This record gives sequence, C-alpha cells and structure tokens, in this order.
Amino acid sequence: MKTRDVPQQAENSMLAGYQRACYAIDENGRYVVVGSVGWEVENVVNAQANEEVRLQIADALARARRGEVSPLVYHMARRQMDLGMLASYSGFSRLRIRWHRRPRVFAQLPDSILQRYATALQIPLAELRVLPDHDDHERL
Amino acid sequence: MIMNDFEHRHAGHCESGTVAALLRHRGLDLSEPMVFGIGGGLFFLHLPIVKMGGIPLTSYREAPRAIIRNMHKRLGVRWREHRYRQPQAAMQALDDFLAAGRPVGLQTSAYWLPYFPVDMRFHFNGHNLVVYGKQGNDYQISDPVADRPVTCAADDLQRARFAKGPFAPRGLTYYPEFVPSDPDLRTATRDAIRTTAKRMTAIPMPFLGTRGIRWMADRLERWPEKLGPEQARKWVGSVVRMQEEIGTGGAGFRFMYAAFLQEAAILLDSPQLQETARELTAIGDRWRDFAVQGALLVKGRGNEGQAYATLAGILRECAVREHDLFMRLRTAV
Repeated sequence: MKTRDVPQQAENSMLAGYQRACYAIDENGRYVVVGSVGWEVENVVNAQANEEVRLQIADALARARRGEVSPLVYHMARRQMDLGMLASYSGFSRLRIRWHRRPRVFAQLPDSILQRYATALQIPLAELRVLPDHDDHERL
Repeated sequence: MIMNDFEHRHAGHCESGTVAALLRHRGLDLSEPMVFGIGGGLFFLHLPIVKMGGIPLTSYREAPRAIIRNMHKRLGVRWREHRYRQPQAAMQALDDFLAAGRPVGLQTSAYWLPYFPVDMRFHFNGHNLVVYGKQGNDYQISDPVADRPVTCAADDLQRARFAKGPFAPRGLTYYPEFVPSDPDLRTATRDAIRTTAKRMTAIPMPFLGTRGIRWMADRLERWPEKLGPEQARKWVGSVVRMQEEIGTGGAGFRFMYAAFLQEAAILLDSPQLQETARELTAIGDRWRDFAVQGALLVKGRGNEGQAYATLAGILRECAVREHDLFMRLRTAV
C-alpha cells in the first residue's frame, strides 16, 4: 500500500474522530506510519458486528416485554454479556442466573442479590428492575 | 498530580506499540515494526473448533504476550510483571509506580475504556496500554493505537483492569526492569526471522501458518452451503475484522512485518531481505483486496455465488505466495 492509497474516508467512520495507524510506502519506497481517518471496509464489518448486538438487544427486550424472560436478560444483552460472562462478573453460578431469568423469580429477588447484578452490569439498581418505555436497542 | 514525561507515538497494534513505548522510555529506541518482528508477532491460524460468539477463531498473529516474552528471549530485556487479587491494591500499586516516575504497561479490557469509540467497545480482554501520569482522578494514558494521549477516570480504569471472562487481565502490570543499552540486534533479528519463517511453513497442522490460510480458503468456499447465506456473511465479516478492524497496521500485520523486513535488510545488509519486503507488501495488497471483496459480500453487493470462490481464490494466492516467501526466508538469514 502506498501512502496516497491509505483510506481517508471520514464519513460515518467508526473511529469517531480518532485515526488508525497504517503502514504504507512513501515515494522513496520506505515504510512510514500514516494516520487513516476511516475506511469503508472497516465500517462495514464493524457495523455488521454491532448490528448483531442490536438484534440481540431487540430480541431480549421483546421477550422480556412478552413476559417470557425477566428484565435481567435485556440488561445482559445491552452489556453484551452471556451467561458465562455475567457469572464471572457477578459470582453467581450459571444455573442460578438461569433461574433468575424467570420473570416471577426475578420479581421476588431481594435487593442484596439485585445489587450484585447491578454492580456486575454497572447500572443503577432501580434501572435493573424495569424495561425502557421506548424501543431502546442501543448497547451500553 | 504526577506528571511524567512520556513521548506518545501512534502504533498499529497495541502490544507491539506498548512494548516499543516502554523500551523507548528506557533508552532503547526501536520502531514498532522492529519490536513486532523481533518479538515474532506474525502468524496465521484458523481454528474452527475454538469459537468466540459462535464464530471460529482466526488470528493473523501469535498469541497475546508473545512479543513481550520474545523481547526477553532475544534482546535480554528483563520484565517485571504483577497481578493482583484486590483492585484497590492494584490501583495503589499503580499510583506508587507513577510516583516513582515509572510508566507501566497494563493489560485491560477494551469494553470498559470510555475513551474508546462506542462502536469499537467489545468484551476483548487483551488490550495493552501505557499509564504515565495522574492528574486528580484521571490517569494519563498513552494508548498506542490512539493517535494522541488520552485520559481515563480511576473507576473506569479499575474496571478495565479487572474485567472478567476469557483472558481476564487480573490487573496485570508490567515494565522493563532491565533494558540492555546495546543489544545484539543483528543476531536477534536473524533468530526472529528464522523462527517466524519456520512457524509459518513447517508446523504439520492444517490450521496453522500458510497451511492454515489454504485450509481457511477451502472451508470458506463451503460456508454458504454449510451455514446458509446470512451466517456465512457473518463469518466472512469476522475474518475481515481480525485482519483490519482490530488494529493490525493493515493487511493483518503483513505491512508491519514488511516494514520490519525493510529495517532488517539495512541492519543485515541484505538485498534479498529488501526483495522479500517488496514481495510481502504485494501480498499485503492482496489481503487488502480480500478485505474489500469481503466487505462487498457483507454489504450484500455483488454476485453472491461467485463471491466465495473469489475470496477463496485470493486466500489461496496469499497462501502460496507467503509459503514461498517464508521458505526463502528460512535460509536467507
């Protein structure tokens, strides 16, 4: 790659104002570092990965609204956490978290347990119990 | 307030950038490509049995921390490494290092660092950065993949240092305790090139080195029928991400390694290395073509049926050319 071929596509760049260091050849044939403000190719594959996260959040929100799962499942999706990851962050076993995914069980959990989830997920305790009114598919 | 002088330099990759920055601060000024090359950073593997989020693991480099280890092995850099049980103890130790005028490298999660662009915040625990100062509650950070120094609040940094899950950093803090003033770069470079060339060509496993590239090509061609079009596009997207989006300096570290071969050619006075640097640059351009074609497929543009054959074709070409190149490198130095 020549220095003049380093992509400089700032529009919708996932880099959000940062630059990416690219190695490219200058006019003397020597490698130098050139900052790239963005590349469409990177945006496309990054957007694909983020879209996947948003779909999971939307799915979790819909299921929680239908009463199939507890709000915990929605908040996990917002943090991109699966069972295993929440288990290591909260210290609860996977089995126990699975149990807490039931709406009725979750509704009766004491604050002491909810607080551990709130800490693990880094969200306020009050937020953990509820679902948003609007369609919020953005990750945290 | 603890202000330490620290020169921030923009790097392609977090581990080689962090190591280069820490060594430079201690008087051994090597470029990032030299650190990456002598650190034996380049590799390729495609492991369908190891899945991350249901997607097979593809890597264009050696395992995390390989570069740090090889700086010890090949240059005689002595590292000190600390891990901590208690986050508070880890933060106190960090403050003590800074107060003593010692910038340190940290392993962190990328997800919990607020200065990261939102779209790039995934649970990846293998990020590396340098902390060199503290102002009030904010740490001053030289994150090599950022183009400028950044800051991070203590709470956030603590969370990033004690992220859980695969490769949990457990507060890992490291710095060079001893840095040789005049290491034997020529011997180290020769050794590094030979080892990398051997690992790329001589491991009798189908999923490692240039064999791995070939193997991925064969499998990728069958992804649409095996997985269905949607899942197949996700898998292609993930390969392109590992090659470009995660920070490789371009073409899955191939350009950075070509830059290393260029420096090595001067150091060892070898026209043949100069030639291989040119060839690896040309191969890197083909990897970039692969990324462009892959992105077109992900976007749903172009002829779906033909796209996988095209992608596999580029991969096979890269496999053959890299195999030739590294076979020559095995005897070139």
